[in-house]
Amino acid sequence: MSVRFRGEKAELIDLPGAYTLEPTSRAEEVATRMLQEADLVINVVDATNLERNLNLTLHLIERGKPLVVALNMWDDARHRGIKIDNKKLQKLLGVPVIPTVGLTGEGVKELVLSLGRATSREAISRTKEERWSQIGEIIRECQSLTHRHHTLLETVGDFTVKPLTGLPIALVVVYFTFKAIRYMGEGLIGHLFDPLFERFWAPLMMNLSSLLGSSGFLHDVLVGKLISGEIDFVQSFGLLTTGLYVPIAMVLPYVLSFYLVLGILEDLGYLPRLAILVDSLMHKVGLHGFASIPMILGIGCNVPGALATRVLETTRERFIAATLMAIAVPCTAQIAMIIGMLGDQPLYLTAVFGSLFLAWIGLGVLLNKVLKGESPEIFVEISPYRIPYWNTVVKKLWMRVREFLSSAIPMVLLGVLFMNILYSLGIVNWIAVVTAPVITGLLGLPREAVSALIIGFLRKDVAVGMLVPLNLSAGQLVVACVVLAMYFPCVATFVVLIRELGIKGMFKSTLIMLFSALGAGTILNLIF
Amino acid sequence: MSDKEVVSLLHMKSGSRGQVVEITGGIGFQSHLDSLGIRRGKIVQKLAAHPLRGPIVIELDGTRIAIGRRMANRILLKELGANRT
Repeated sequence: MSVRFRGEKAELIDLPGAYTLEPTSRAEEVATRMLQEADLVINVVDATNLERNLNLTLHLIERGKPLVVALNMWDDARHRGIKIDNKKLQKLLGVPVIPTVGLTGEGVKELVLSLGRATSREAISRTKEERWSQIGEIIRECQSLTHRHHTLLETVGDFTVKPLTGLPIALVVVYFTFKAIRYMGEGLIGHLFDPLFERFWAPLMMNLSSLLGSSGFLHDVLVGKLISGEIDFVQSFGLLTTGLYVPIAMVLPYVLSFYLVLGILEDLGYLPRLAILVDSLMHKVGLHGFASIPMILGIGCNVPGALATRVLETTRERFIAATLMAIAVPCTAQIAMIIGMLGDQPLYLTAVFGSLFLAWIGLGVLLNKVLKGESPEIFVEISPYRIPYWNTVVKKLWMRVREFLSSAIPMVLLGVLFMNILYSLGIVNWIAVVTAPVITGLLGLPREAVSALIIGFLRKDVAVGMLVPLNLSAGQLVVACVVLAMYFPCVATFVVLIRELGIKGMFKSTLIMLFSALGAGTILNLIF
Repeated sequence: MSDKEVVSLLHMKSGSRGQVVEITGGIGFQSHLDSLGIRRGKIVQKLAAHPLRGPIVIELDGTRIAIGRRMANRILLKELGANRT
């Protein structure tokens, strides 16, 4: 992020959280590398846990870079009976120390002003023992604890990390999470977006259609084909009809509700607890509980899911997690479209997600057996529960939705345009003939279904939408949806995965995707 | 209580407290634990052990930490008995 600082342009970079400069995960590695290039470092320290955080602070001081310490969650620390003498701390550390409250912005101004006081110092080196004894001394001098009883949130917190109470609570949370997402998603579609498109946008488009003469290349690209004289927002396939309707009226409502619920769970601090509860399941696929975070983020969008695999310690784990996510975790956009198609047939809907889950487990167990190496264990701080701050929840939701709109809409439009051109040049037909043995022979789908697989490289949601005009049976829809989810990631995810796994890793991963998609599709075709 | 009751975090009873007397393992493992504040002399309370070889949950310095079983087996504690709070 670019900011102005004392009349000059400065680059402000938020590094991944780290406890030490001796990296234990890819995220800490990245943080350490980027630190070397920084001109000035702001060390945000959790005041509720000063002792542990000072380890990193001392590391940073040893490097000699200009440094400012933000003593964050200052209010929280006070509530917990932790008193820190920040003046004394500043004197002992020899760098500016500013108490801040990130949620309300308290102290941020002072923090910015203090940046001018940060100067470079001589680099020093200390052994681990020296560092810890110094930390002990600082804590003794600057921090005093008042005894207090566990807060209500802590008591509740302990219920959710104990297996006997934690598991039932998790089941209830997950159930209501999905209920809430679907309820909000369907509500937004049924009461807001659908009426908007049908009542206001459709008449406008009909006018445009007759203006353009109801047919011709330009008409078909912009408005699409009329279906029995009317615009069908899913099937017409014009830029201004399907190209807008799919991302805005079918997908956006689910993106909104998913990220709202996820944001609340994140800020509440529930996700690490879920990670602990699924730890033993994740060990079956060669991962540990923390790998559930990329999977959960992947449900929102596979791109942040792929990026989140960085929190895992080994290359092996990152490969397994990224491959499983790309194959068996469909993103919200895709899920929204699948629900749109099969929502009224719960049995078939369950078949789609059940197959994906089985694929996730089966492939994971297989990869865990085949790939050499051991999987490390979970080792994670379970941050205390916090009542979410609405301001931050809304801000984060807005950032994520904006990210979706700015990346999805151009991609969908591009996909629709691309498809129109391929159709009018007859290329789709040609590909359909060539791939017929696989599409029809193995998967039992009409050869035109290949068009969905082609567009699936760009956007999976549009691809699912393209199945509508094919009049597939419910069984065929299950096959098509599962194959579409598994065979290849969308281009945005693909690019990120190449960066995260390397060309060779991605090549292996891609082969696994193609074969498992074909395998699953063939088996499902035999069942249905 | 006698000083000789040394037990691994894995085998200590849930609800018990103990003081870390030894961490068996290389420098890498020790500094890994160090990063979340687990080192010799620290007092930890075991809150829960998850079934099916799931992780151990402990409280240390007012925060909760989840730790895998193999790792927990290498942390040796002098048992101090159950916490009152």
